[in-house]
Amino acid sequence: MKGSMRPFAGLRTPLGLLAAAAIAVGAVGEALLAPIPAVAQESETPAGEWRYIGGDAGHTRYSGLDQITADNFEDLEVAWIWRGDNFGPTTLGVSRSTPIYVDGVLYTVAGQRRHVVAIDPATGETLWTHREAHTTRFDRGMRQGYGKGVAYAEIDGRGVIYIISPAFFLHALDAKTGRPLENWGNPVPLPGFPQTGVVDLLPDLIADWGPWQSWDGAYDPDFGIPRELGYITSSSPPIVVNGVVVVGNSAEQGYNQTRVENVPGDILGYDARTGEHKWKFHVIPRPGEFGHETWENDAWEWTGDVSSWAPLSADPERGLVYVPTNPPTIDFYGGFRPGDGLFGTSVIALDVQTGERVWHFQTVHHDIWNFDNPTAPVALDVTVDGRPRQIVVQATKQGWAYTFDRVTGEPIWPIEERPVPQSEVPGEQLSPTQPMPTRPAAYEMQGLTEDDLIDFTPELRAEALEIIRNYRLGPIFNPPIQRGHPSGLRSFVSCPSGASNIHGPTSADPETGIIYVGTRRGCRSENIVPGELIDAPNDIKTTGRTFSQFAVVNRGDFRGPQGLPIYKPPYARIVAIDMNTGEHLWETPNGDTPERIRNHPALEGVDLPNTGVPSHPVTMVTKTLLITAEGTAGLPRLHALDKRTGERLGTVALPASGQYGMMGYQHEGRQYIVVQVAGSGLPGSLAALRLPSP
Amino acid sequence: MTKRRDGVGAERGSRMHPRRRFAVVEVALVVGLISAGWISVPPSAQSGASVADGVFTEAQASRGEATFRRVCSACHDTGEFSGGRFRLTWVGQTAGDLFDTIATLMPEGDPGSLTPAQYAAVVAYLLQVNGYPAGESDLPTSLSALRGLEIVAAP
Repeated sequence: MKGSMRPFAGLRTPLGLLAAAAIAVGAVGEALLAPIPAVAQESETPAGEWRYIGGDAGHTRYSGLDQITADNFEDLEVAWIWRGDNFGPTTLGVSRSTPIYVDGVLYTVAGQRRHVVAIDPATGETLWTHREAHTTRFDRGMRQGYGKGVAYAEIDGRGVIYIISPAFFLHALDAKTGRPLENWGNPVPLPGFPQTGVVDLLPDLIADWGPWQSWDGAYDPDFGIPRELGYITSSSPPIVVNGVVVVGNSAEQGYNQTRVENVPGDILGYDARTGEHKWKFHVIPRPGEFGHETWENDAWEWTGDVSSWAPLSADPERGLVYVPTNPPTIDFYGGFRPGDGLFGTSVIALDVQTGERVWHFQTVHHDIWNFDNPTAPVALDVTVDGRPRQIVVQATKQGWAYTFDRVTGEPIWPIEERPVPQSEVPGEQLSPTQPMPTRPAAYEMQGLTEDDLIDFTPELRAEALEIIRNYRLGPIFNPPIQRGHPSGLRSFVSCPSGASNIHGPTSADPETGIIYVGTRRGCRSENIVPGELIDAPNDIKTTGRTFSQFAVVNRGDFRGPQGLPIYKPPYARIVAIDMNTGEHLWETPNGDTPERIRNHPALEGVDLPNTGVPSHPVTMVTKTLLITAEGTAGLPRLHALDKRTGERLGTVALPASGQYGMMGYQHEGRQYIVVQVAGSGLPGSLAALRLPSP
Repeated sequence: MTKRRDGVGAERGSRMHPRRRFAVVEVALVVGLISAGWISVPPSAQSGASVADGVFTEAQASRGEATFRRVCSACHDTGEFSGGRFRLTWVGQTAGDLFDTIATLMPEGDPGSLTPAQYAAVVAYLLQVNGYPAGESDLPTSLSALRGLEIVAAP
């Protein structure tokens, strides 16, 4: 995966043509000995391009370009801003989609509706757009503003853009024109839908699913799945691997659900050339399938979720796709679904041609903590104890980087099952142990103790000690307690809550094997009550039939003294971990102490350390630099960091604060960095930076 | 065929989950909520004024909706703050408590970064979502004034 080793570095010709040309002239190279696939899906992005939202199929968010260096970083200027207004019924104030750059064009999605847009990389001009017609399914959507971007493949030499819409349709568009692909997919019998270039994913998803099979009613493509059965949407693009479009999905947030039935988020595979449905992987195993026994109470029959809402990654050479999953339906209570509940909160490796499970690792058993795997697993080649290893790393809300051999699933360093606290909530039965990585060390605090409390002044500490008297503190996997618990405590506190999360996906340097993990300190203290008390039967987003014995009434009221965080800083950091050794190399706070903290009246005269900005840092790696933005709460700035030390080497202004991710490409000889930004008067937007004209 | 789009009736007891032994526990919990002080009337709210008295304007709620969509909807749906969830969390407290909670906790990562007028407008919007009537004047931005407005059960 080394950028410098790419056989076709620096060229932008479609790979299929290149390979054909190279063979024609008898060029020597290992890559050329393989037969030319009819569907070209290169495992390595040509230098200067960014063909997956994560840069490459392994989601390293690495660009091998080197024009922008420590010496000229502060000369960067904004080339253009692409504004996301007007791509949905209301202005979206977030930017959660990383563009791709292929063959001289940028592609991404915009707004709640996930309009597909092609953008001129030099000027920011919109070249074409594609809008999905309105459906009731869209209105029922719960993850509309989570587009994350598009997927790309070349079919018979033609570029094709693939997206999954919030209404759960798969679209295939000609990359040059934006037109729906001819002779592809199935006609959708709804006004405004093209008769080709689209697949309604729901019929394929539910065809073999018991609750649908026994449902007495016809399929309604506008409405989708009946509310009594569940709802499913998407919050990421598919990934195309070796001619197969792999489709993940997304469910309603588990902390918003009150009823126990839902649709399992099975993974779907489609032929990239025809749109034909190829395979399905049951994320909740059926009788006779591996893992079925991890579901007790027959919950496998009627409950759902286990969605894969984060982007998928892949190893095209080995034909494997890596799927990070969510827990089953309902966060913070799982009494109705006893058992470990495979493949909830897991990393699954599937054979991309068949959809068969090659390996899996469940990162949290019987997850009730909202500890879903929130980012794409990152694939790297490293050397561990003198042995070359192909690894995949899953950064998590728990603050652990779970590390596996990406071919076999074997943990690179031992992951031990260790005892965890048990629940006192009626009906809840937790796993007695949870898997805990021994290496790399956790990169975020694990639980909250008195030692972790704010101690800037004796008064603040005393206030914090008073606050925690009302809560049940504990280590990671501290279980919830229900409202009205005999102890009289207000709630539980579980930390971290989202060390790594949706925003600020991990980036990595394939040349050194170092990963750069963003982490934000935080705790949770959800309150749970009987689902019946908070159920909203007339809300179009309510699904299922049977009230959960407990459900989340609110996200908790656990807060620190005088508007300050209750724990010590730093509030967010970037942590560099050498994946050859598992050692933390360095860490640095994200940005600088915010003005709100610096000028806080309770902190007058206190010599503050750099607390960092409390948001997930946004990162990418280039040949020369680690580039970071401070995230939603940060100042609108872009920093260059030394990859080896974390030292800040330069800073330039952004039009608004960085969000989610960034990407880079070389266009007409010049290196660009595109940052997702929002705020400062801008809606969710893209800002492109480049060096001044020579 | 019946689509049943207007509401999802819960089938209580239609599927007997072995672990579903609700009724007694639920009653005990509701009693528990009250006795544990979850549902209480702070002394400051006992002036008699309440959020049911038309304490915000339509225009203010509209401004709040725009702010909610731009800032809050990135992570939140109004469903989290309406119906039973709103009732169980907020009835018995004051508009000041709601304002203070939002302003000191949100947006995540940058709490306090909106103006008091924006926070007040978001509170007005949430009151509107929960069915409280609009009136002739804006919800105030002063915490002490807001603490004088009790959140009573929605009309």
